[in-house]
Amino acid sequence: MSIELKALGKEYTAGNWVLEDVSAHIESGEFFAIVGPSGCGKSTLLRMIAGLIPISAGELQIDDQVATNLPPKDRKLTMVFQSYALFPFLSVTDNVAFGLKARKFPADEIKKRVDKAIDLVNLNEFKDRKPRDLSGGQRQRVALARAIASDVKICLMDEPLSNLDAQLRIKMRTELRNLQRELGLTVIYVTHDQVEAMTMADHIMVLHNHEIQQIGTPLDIYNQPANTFVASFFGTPRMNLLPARVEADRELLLANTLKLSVPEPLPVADYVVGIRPNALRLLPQGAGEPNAQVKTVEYLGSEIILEAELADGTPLELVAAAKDQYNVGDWLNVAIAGQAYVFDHDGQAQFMVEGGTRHATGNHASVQA
Amino acid sequence: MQQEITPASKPSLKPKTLNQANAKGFNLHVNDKWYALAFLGPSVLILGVFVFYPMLRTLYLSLFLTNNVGRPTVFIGLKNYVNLLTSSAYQASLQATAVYVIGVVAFTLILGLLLAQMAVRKLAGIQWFRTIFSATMGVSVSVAAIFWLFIFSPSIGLFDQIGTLLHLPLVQWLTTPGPAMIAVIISTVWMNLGFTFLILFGALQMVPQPLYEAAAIEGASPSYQFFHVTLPMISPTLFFTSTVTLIGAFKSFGLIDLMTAGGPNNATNLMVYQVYRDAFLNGNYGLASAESVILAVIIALFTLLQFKFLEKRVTY
Amino acid sequence: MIQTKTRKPLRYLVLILLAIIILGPFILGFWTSLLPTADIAKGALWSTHISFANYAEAVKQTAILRYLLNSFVISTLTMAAQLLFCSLGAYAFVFLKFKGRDLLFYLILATMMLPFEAEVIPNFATVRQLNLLNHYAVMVIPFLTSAFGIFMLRQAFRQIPPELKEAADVEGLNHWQFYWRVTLPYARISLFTLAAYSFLESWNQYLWPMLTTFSDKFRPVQDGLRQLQSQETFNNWGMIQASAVIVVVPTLIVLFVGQHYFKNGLNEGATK
Repeated sequence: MSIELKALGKEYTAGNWVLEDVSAHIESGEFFAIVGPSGCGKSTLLRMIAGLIPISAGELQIDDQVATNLPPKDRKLTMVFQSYALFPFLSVTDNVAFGLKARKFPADEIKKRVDKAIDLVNLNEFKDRKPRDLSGGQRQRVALARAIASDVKICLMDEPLSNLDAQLRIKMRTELRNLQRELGLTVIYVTHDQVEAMTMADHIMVLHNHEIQQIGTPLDIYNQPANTFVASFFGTPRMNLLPARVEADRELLLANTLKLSVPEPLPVADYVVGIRPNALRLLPQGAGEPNAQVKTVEYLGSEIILEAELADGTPLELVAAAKDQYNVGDWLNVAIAGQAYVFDHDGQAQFMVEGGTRHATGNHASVQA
Repeated sequence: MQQEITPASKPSLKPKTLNQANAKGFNLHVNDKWYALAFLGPSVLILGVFVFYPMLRTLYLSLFLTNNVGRPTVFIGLKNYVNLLTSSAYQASLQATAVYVIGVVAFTLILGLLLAQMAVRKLAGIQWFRTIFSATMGVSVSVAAIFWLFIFSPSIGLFDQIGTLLHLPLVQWLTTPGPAMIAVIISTVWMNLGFTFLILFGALQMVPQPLYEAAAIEGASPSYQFFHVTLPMISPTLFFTSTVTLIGAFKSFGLIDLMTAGGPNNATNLMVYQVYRDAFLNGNYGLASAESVILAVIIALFTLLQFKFLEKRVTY
Repeated sequence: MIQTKTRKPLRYLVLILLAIIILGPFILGFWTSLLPTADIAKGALWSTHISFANYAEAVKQTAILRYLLNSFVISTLTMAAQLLFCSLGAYAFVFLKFKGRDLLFYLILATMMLPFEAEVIPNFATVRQLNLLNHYAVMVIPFLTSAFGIFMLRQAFRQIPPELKEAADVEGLNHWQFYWRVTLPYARISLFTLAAYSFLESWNQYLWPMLTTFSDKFRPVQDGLRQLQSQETFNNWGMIQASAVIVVVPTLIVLFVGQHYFKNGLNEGATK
């Protein structure tokens, strides 16, 4: 059950495209996450795939069949909603059986499938309860059971965990992932939470500004971001993005403060250099000219997050060891000690430097994933 | 409870002394009886005089023969009730009321639901239709009666003109029993539709969209969705609307008075009209009181049923 | 949804048909109010003799404007009184503590079950004894308050966060001040709904004014129309329709202006 998106587009009013040129291939049995900030069109895309809203441009193939204009019920897929969309007047059993009854399956077949689905999500004790008598996590499972019972192999999920509390969310991530593997489901999973996407997905599609920013495995996306948006969207704490200009033949000056040597001469232009907080090193006091001042100190137990300001006022986030003591107003000496991503002034990735050597990044390596 | 809140001679608002203010601050079991008297007094007085007392008085009168100004003369026990329930005229009135009420409730609900269902989906210009569909809420009973009287009036009315055009046999709408009942039902339903539409429309709008989306993906056709999602979701409102319409229909008077005056041949002589006739035209207040009690009991039963249901009602 | 795309024309057709059914009586009433009665009597509804003569005649020959004024006075007074007394009563049931509060509330709730129509006989005797017959007072006094209004506002007042009351207690506001400054503004949507409801309810009164008023000086509009319709003008359809239109237009305007509030209020009432 593979899914092929071919240059999908959506316009609500003429000429006003909320999604443009979205193409992707989703393998059978894959967990595919669509991530982006709210309003990026990720739910719209999911609804287009489901058939809940019409596709304005492009073609959708499900299992090698054109499905662009099929009604939702004929697309051989199922969906789990953010609000769960459980029928409040039906018991757990009847909710799970809803689709099978609507499709007029024989009663014994319905019973068999419903029992199995409820068993899979561990809701046996709650069969006769109404949704209002269930906890958030249990409702979530009912929604899952309904999707499973229909026995189709494609499941669309629209922020299914966002209404759960933080602890339960983490637990459900694992459960969902296990269930998906066990049943061999093809899952398209929409979320705004980059951690969720990173931990669960086989492939991630990053949506922003009405179009795809990057598609790749979680590792690709983290290590080879295609542009500054992807770079800053993934990873906590966020990647620092510093304005840079060519200072010498093989050297960039970041925020008028930090120097970064590059392996070969660059055309003279404005650049943006991205450095993750954990790729910055704090030199011992007195080891050189201090170049950043501490603005806030956040103790996390295992480490300390420092928000500092470089000499020219550019903010910078750093990670420090928990054993050290920092105070607001302290002067630090910061040096680059890991990967630095060089983007052009439009934010497109150029290359990555680590210890003076150049590596390719997302734009050149993995867009075609 | 009357004693507690209405010791009548004291002024309603005592000047607040320091002592009292302190007592208020520290005593959780405050007694606001003076405030209660001031706030509730007027309502209790009016309801007492015009609702409680007349209820008891009606019950009382229904056990008596009365003179021509409505004073009780001879105690006759339940004789008024016995007479009524064995009188074929009263039975006919009950029957007419039943037909009228069932007709009005059924058609009001079905048409109201149709209007609401048609108006709830987004469509260009739908706002205009929503406004039009709620329009009869602004129609008072006499206006409705006059508009429909004309429509049903012989030879010049709309229905007769259409009938003539199509060479159908002419119907004397308001002067033949069956058609007269149909005419008053149609007029009442039309008058009710604005209100019913608004309530049901509001209920339909409250049904979360994802329920329909989930149903569509799970393979439910539009009609399956209507019966298995829409109807169960709005059933509390549907129940509320039906009892309100039902109670209203039991109380119908103005439309009947203007359109048929209970006729022809008592075919539209509904319960309230019968009360009016016996009391204020025939001067038989005792009998009319018994009729009032029967009417009140019926309406109270349906209201109770509604309270009971709304109380138990699940809040989704 | 996708499949409804093709059904659009059909849906418009049904919507227009329904709109015609709903609007038909209005349109017919308005149209015939513009025609000479002679044409109407002949059944010539496609007449082109259009004029406002019927309106002029109705205003000159009948007391229709007086009826409107009477109804306006009666309904406004009733509405104002119900807003005041129902809100005071509801306040007492929510914010005051006194013995027998719940019992009293249930008694008042119980009166919602009793139809006024079943109590007209003693009420008629009462107002006759009080010498109120044939006066505005007879149509206002029995309706100064309503169990429904108290019930509805009580529901609305219960939505007021208890912290507001506690804050007011800390500030030293007494009940009058809290009622006036916090409760009423907080529940203004419900008050608006009750205002519209009580006004319309009073405007639509038919049986009670018919029993208790005998002169055009006090007769409200519903019974005024009854009067017109049953008097010598029985067959003067043009003028009767004109009178009906004169009566319906103000309420339609009020309805459409207040539609938004009314709709919300109704649904709150239906779902709480």
